[in-house]
Amino acid sequence: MQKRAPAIAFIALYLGVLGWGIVAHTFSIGVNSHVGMYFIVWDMFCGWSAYEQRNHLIAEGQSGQFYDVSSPPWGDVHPYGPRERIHYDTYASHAPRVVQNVLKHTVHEPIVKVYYVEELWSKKFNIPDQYWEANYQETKNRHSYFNTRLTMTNDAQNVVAYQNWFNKMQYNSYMDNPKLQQMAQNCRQFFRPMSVFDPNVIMNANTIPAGGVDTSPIVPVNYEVSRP
Amino acid sequence: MAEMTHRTPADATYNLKKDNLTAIGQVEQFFFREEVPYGMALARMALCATLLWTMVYRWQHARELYSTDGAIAQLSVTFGQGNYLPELSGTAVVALASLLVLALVTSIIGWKTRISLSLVLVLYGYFALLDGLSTMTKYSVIACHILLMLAISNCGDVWSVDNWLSNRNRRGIWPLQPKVLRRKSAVWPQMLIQLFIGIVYLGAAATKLHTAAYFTGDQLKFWMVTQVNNLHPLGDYLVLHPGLIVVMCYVAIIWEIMFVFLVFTKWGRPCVLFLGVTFHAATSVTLGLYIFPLVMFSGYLAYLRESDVQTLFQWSRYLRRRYAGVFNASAFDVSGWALPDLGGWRPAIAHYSLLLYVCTILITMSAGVQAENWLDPYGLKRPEGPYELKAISHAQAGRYFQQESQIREEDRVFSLRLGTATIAGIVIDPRTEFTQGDTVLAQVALAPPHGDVFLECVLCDGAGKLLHQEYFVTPRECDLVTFRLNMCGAVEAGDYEIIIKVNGREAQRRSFQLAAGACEVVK
Repeated sequence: MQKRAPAIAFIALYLGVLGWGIVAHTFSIGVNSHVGMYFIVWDMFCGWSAYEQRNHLIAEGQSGQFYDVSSPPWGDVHPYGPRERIHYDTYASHAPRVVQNVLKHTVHEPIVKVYYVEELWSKKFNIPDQYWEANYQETKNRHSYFNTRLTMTNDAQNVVAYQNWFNKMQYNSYMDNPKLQQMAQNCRQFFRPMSVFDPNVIMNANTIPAGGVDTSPIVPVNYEVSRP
Repeated sequence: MAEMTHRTPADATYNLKKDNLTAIGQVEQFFFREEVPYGMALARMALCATLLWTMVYRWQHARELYSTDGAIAQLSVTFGQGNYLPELSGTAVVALASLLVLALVTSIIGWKTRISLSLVLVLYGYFALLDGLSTMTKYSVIACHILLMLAISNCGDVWSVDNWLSNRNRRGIWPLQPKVLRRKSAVWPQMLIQLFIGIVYLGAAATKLHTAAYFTGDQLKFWMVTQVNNLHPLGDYLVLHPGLIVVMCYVAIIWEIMFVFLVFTKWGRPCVLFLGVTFHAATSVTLGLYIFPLVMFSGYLAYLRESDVQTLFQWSRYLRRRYAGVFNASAFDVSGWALPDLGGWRPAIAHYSLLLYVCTILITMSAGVQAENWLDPYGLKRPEGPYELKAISHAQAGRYFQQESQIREEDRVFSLRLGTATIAGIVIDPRTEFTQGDTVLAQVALAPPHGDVFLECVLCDGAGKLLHQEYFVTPRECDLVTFRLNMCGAVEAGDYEIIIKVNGREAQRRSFQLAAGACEVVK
């Protein structure tokens, strides 16, 4: 028995840890409290939305020229299929380092600002053409929605985060309710600190360029003004 | 055929109930009975080969993914906890990545197996934690758990270079050779892998229980049509048959919950393992997962007992004899396979094995660094100099900065299906032809976040004349709306269309034919 003591201790400890993972996950106790929880929580099926998402990193040069930073010119990493690595950054947590790396290893004019832009479209447009034609009478007309998620300076510092597209759409649908809008207005304090989590930040941000057309220059405008 | 029914001592010891043991005795026998680790050896080879496939590709990007000269994406950052792990220079990382590839190879062939597996565990775990974007996934975690168990087991005792080098029983590696030649060891690491896989499924089931959209099939449907993994042709097809998806969802969760309770029973084991193989194989063609199933199949090999492997070899021997005249019998005679006898060289190699191993490591690391330097991943040494940033046109840039505050009405509807029967609320018989007397179910699947919408279902005849209209105020949490249109009575046989409008704007339409039926037409 003495010879087996370390093995018994290991078995007890290991099964105890796995058991804690199940309990923590089932009852939602500290599931995201520590990176170690990733090793014992089995949430392989979380958050597959109805919209396909792609991420774009766009750098704005001093001359006003824009550059694509999301695909490094030396070739991209395709870890789990044909998609590039940046598209797996769902929480926009790692974009600044990706930007730093691409800027560090390329030749370019001085960069003024870098934008992390989400692109989303309805996943029904992913259905292959032959199945689409058999099941839909409409023409396949994919429409992408864009949302600026982060802005950062040329050294990928001073990162300002905005709502992701899903939260923004949800917020907009809440704000469609005039009664709720009125209540929010009434509860708003006169003096309050600016918060990056506040939807007002994105509305008042004077930093995101408005949509431009082929010939017109892209100039920074107040987003609130451009709202319909 | 007498050989086929032969029972081995391993069989007898595994059958816990027949031994009339106490509960503690049964647990002791469950973890500490001794077997030849054939299953673990197979798991070692399969898992390391799978990881080798993933890491050889990542080796060429090691500098970019794992070094301070690249874009590290530590998993801990996603958890909001900053950078936990030390970050190394590009050269050091390339050397370690080369070592990892070597360690995977030596683990497969079983050379210094325990050291190799320990190196794989540490390095693979380190790299996975450093790269939360493109190396760390749940299959990496599962692989780490299995690697830990393999590293502390004696999986290198059979089918390995270690076994070949140890002069003790190199002829005793095949299951049908005399048992005195076989090296047995306690099975507890193997049993822990078996329990671990069962617990993973239990946890996965808990996730699904938390996810209401799982039971409507929506989660799986949206996953099947997602293009972030590899190609998934069956998923593209199934997404238009949500009734089937719902049935699959229920079967999957029942199987996941039952797995750990059935896999240790005599008849339950083959059933749940067969379902498991089917399930994981199906994820390849429905979800585009390639590596995850291979990692799970590697783990499944740990369910092979010594007696299973013996039975398989008895079968192969039987088939060899049975079809000796048809095939080249020697081709099936795997039990005769052995590494070449190097005569007097083998003891010398065995003696200097550790030294050779260390030298191989050093040579591989140096060669890896040199090769990566030659490959010049960032193109800094090109004659024309470093790459330039890719410029994009104003029009393209302008497109990225278009901000829309509302979703198009047609995007709020994922699909419109017409049918007559449902399972779990999902239309299962999509059709475009109905008979008078049928109740046509027009099922609208909404795509969240669709917000609160005013949904109209309009029935028109072939000429576009409005015949009937229904509406439903759909709250944001409701993703499935079914309109019921009774085609009995006033509706004549002919061509019709159902139009779905969202907030007054047409989103989708479906045509169908109504044939004359037994139902009386009231004019």
